[in-house]
Amino acid sequence: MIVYDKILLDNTYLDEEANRLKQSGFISQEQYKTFSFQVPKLKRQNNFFIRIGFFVLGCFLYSSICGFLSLLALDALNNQYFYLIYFFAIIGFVVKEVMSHGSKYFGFGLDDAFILGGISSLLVAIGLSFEQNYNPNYFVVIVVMAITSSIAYLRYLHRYLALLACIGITGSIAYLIFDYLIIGKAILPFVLLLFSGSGYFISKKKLQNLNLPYYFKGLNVIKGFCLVVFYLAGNYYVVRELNAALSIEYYYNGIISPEIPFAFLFWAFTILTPAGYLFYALKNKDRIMLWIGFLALCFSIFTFRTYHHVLPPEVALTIGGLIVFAFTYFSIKKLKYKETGLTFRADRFTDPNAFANLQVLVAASQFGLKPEVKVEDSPMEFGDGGFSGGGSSGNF
Amino acid sequence: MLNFEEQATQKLFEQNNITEEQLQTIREYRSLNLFSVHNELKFLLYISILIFTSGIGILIYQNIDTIGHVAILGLLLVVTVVCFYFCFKNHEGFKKEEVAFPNPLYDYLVLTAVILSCTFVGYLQFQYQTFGTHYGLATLVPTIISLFCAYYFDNKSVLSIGITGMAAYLGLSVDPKHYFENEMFYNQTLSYIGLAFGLSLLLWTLYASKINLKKHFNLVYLTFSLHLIGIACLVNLCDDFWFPFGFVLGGAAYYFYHCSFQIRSISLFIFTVLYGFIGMNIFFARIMDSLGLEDLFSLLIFTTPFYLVLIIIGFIKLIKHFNKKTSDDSIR
Repeated sequence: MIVYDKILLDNTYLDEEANRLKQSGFISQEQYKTFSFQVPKLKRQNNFFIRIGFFVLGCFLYSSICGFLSLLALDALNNQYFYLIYFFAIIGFVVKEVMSHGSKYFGFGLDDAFILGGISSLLVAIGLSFEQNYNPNYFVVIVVMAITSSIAYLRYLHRYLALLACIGITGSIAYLIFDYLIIGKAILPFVLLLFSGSGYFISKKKLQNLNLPYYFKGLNVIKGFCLVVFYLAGNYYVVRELNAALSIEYYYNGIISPEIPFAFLFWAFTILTPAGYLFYALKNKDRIMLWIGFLALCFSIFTFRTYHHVLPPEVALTIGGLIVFAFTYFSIKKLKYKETGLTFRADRFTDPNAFANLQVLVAASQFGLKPEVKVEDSPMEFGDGGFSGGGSSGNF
Repeated sequence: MLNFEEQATQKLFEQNNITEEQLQTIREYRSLNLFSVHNELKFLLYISILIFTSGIGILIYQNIDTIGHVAILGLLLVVTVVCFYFCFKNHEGFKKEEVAFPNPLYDYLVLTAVILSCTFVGYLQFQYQTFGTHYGLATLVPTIISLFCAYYFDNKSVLSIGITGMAAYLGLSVDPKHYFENEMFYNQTLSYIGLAFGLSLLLWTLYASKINLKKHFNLVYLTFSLHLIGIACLVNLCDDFWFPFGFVLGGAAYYFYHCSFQIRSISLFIFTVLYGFIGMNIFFARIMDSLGLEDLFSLLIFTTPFYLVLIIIGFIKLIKHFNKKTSDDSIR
């Protein structure tokens, strides 16, 4: 199923590991270089920003090819123009296949542009062909998205494809239940809870039984996605507002969303889930879960403050800042000298200054000083100005 | 994750790429089973300071009439002085090289102190007009405080606040928000000032590296400088008087291109290439426009795919060159 040459792919993973060892100082620079030069591997762009740059260039290239073809062919097929979009999709898929198979590109940025471009033009084309009376059939589109991105993930191993596949599958299930079941609206949160919960445990099981590293990162993405959906499906704010937004009365004349049934249950869920996430993340040493738990906690606070106005925001900010500071201060004190397990010591495998540049950026944008007086838009340059502005020049 | 990493390490050993000793140390280290929350806790500290200072700022702004001014000012002053006291107590003093605090906590304390003192000065000016109508002074004083703290305590976040302060004194807003909203330069004069400020930052970097003063600050200075020069040149290229700015941008791009090799900064490299590329395109389009070759444009549309392919090949070459020049794979 995987398009890449197995030996080269294995070498790419080995190179990644060797680089990790070099970064953490276990092997020397020269050792890594000799290894890296002697082993053939797939062409991969490891720097995120350069990859994005090449992605943008690839998008330009793809769209300019499509535009060029449209210029030539649009006159010939005036009404059936969506065949052309199917053709664009085929171009995207074929180019990605050729790049990955023949030219050995694996996440270089250019190939990403073509696979994503191919998928999105396929979706547009499907949407256009199943359109009835200008009503697009979203269900077909999202099912096609789920299928194509799943296949593409299994073949090309990119993490964002796994994410797209997850969104597609969850979306199709939600759509199916909501549109084709009469009680669908009432049970939607519970179905999604069940679905994402089982998704989490299945992917966890799969991860444990995995014996080749290829699908490792993708399964982690799926796991994280399931955690996020699980939290959101039971969150009071999401359930209440979505419930209101999806009902017809609200659509026409509602202003405040009505209270939902089982409110107590959802409140309990909103409060307990982040706590559970954080606890299990620290217990099982799961970094993704820790971050998701932290974000979930923030969202829970937001949910609570939306419906219960306890403190004015500025007081809440000040006190909250002090509490977080105190909490962090004491945790650092407690964890500073621990040698194993949970610790504040910098891990050799992670960069201790990962957020340093981000912090500089945020400090500059948040607290950067601004000029006190803005310079006038057009300083007057000509004329004596004696009578301009409706006043005298002010000189005696 | 650990499982596959260990497998890969084992394989590296089997292929004779690492020695047995190294394998042993790696295994020992991994068997410690560390779960470091270093970054997470530092991040939390940072967030707590952002929240706290924002909250205090809003509080003061809203209650400016109700609580006594003296009370607010006194409270602010006390908190600021306490922060500064702890920072000075725990710091070993000024050095020309990079000096870190024994505990990263103090880095954030410095940041708090500086932000609070900026608030203090701003409040003083707003309420009592301490500096009268010398509005510049009200900006200059916090700037000097932050620059001093940045150099004394070796803090890059504070340094960036100081640089925005200097720019604010000149009438420029150089923070990322204005950058992304394209509101850095309201008019021609400001863009000239921006260009001059960018160039002087560049000169300062050159001087600082000559006398070995906080060399690790160079990246911050150069980043500000590059964006100021780049944007100012691009703005002017689109204006009436455009011709010389093409050459200014070309020269600057050439200089920064070499600079990015020296300090091995990929972000500098990328933005230099980006500004250079955009500027080049605008420059040639304007030349064609002024020569009256409008008819050629329709022909150019047909050549865009080929042009893009050429550009892509060029970029790949450039990045390979960068990799080779920096002589290790710093692009990761």
